[in-house]
Formats: sequence, structure tokens, C-alpha cells
Amino acid sequence: MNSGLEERIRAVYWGDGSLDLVAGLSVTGMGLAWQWGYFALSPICPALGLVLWSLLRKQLVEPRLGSVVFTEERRQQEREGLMLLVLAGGAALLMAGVGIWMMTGGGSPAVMSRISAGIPAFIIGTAGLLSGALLQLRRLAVYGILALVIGLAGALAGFEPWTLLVVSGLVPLAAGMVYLTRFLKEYPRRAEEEAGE
Amino acid sequence: MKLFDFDPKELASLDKVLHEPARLAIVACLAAVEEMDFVFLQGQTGMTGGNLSSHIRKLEEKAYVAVHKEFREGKPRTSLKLTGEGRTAFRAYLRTTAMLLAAFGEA
Repeated sequence: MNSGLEERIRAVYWGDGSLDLVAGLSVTGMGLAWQWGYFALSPICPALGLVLWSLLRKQLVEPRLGSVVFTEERRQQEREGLMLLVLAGGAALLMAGVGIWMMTGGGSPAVMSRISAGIPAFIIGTAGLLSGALLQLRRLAVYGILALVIGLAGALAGFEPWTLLVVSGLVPLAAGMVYLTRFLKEYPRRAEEEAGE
Repeated sequence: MKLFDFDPKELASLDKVLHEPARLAIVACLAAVEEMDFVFLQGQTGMTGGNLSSHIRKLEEKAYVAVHKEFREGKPRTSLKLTGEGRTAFRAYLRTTAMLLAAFGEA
């Protein structure tokens, strides 16, 4: 019932910009950690991002926006979609790897090493695309496509992997800041006791 | 020839509780999800807290909406859910208004 309205509610629910901001920060952080020689810290950035996002959501967003539990049908769709998309994403990455291997004549070391610089950005891009499809958020998919393009073009142009990660992360980071600022202006903090409950 | 393709008496049977615009907005929002809290509903309907509370009370009296109050991390939280009766009444309301709109060539 009311699937059009449900879509709008979902857009409002995910439209605060905190997810974009934290995703951008995580990816940029991964790139910077790589550049500053703390390569091992790179995988920690998304985990820290998740913690930060949960804090932002709880402390900043939910007191203003409130919360919604979507229908069980929708949640089931999301669970199934996540599994399918992870499988499809893995298969796509594998096929892309095999394709590159074949196009470079069985893996010419020079070309392979050049293209491999884009792999982190490809992975981030694929993750963005998958999350965008899963949450039905076009802008996440756009960040994903941008990261894929940045990864491929940057790798071919000879940029370092960390640069491609930083550039890929700056796009959602900047967009997230704009969305979050707009959200904070649009939604003043509402406590239920003030609301007359 | 009849003026309407449906029994005009059906219009008179429109649910008066749901026919009020603010309550209709509340029920429409709740029909799209499983549960929504007071703050979200207030933000989306643009009503004042007191106004929203009074409409929710009317819907609760008709058993269209179930209200659950709790304290989460020391703060009060009110969650709202459309009941089975509320969902049935909303569907009936939509059916009747759809017939009227169809008569005007708007549906």
C-alpha cells in the first residue's frame, strides 16, 4: 500500500547527508593513511566510519528527523538484495579482472601494474554502486560510478592508488557536507516533551 | 440515466474520522510503513506537537492507530502503527474517493 509514498519516506529518511559524509571521509581517510605510510590503517577507516555514522545518526539526525521502521516485506527485499548484489559485485569484479588480463595479452606486467593502481577505487566504486542499488539511492550509485571512472582514468593516467582514493572520497564528502548543512537548517531539534507529547 | 456510476449514498458513508485532512495525512504516512515515530510524523506533516497529538488521540479512540510510548536513553519516544482496522478503513476510504474522482474523469 502506498509504495510511491514509501519511496518518498525512504528518500527523506536517507536524505540527511550523514551517510555521504561518512562514506566520503572513510574513503579519503583510506587514501591519506596509504599516502602517509600507514597502509595497514586503511581497512580501519570504514570501520571507524561506521561507528561515526551511527553516532551522527543517533545524536544529530534522529532527534531532528525521527525514525521509521519500514515494512517487513521491504526489509526482506533488502536482505535478499544485499546477498544478490554482493554476489553480482564479486562476479563483476572477477570478470573485469579476467577481461583486463585478456586485453593486456595475458597480463603484460607494465599495463597490469598501471591498471592495478585503480583497483582500490574500483572496489569503492563497486561498493557505492551496490549500496546505491540496494538502498535505491541514486546519489550513492552516482558516487560509485564516479569512483569507477576516477579509478580507471586515473590509473591509465598514471596516478597513485592513494590519490584516486582521496579524489573518489572527496565527492561524497563535499556532497555530504552540503546535504547535512541543508538538513540541519530544515530540521530543528525536536524533543517530544517540547512537541507537546 | 444516472448521474454517477456508483451509489451516491456511498459518499455519505465516507469515514469522517479519516476525511479530516490532517488525520488523512497521518494515516497515509503510517500506511506506507510498519511504524513511525512522533518526531518523524511531525516533521513530515508540518503540524505542531499539540495538534498532531490531538489528531492521534482521535485515531487511537477509533482504534485506527496503535500508540506505544517508551523511554529510550532517558528520552520519551512515541511510536505509531496503523492497526488492521485502520488499514481496512483507509482502503475503503481510498476506494470511495477513487470512485468519485473517476466520475469527474480525474482518476
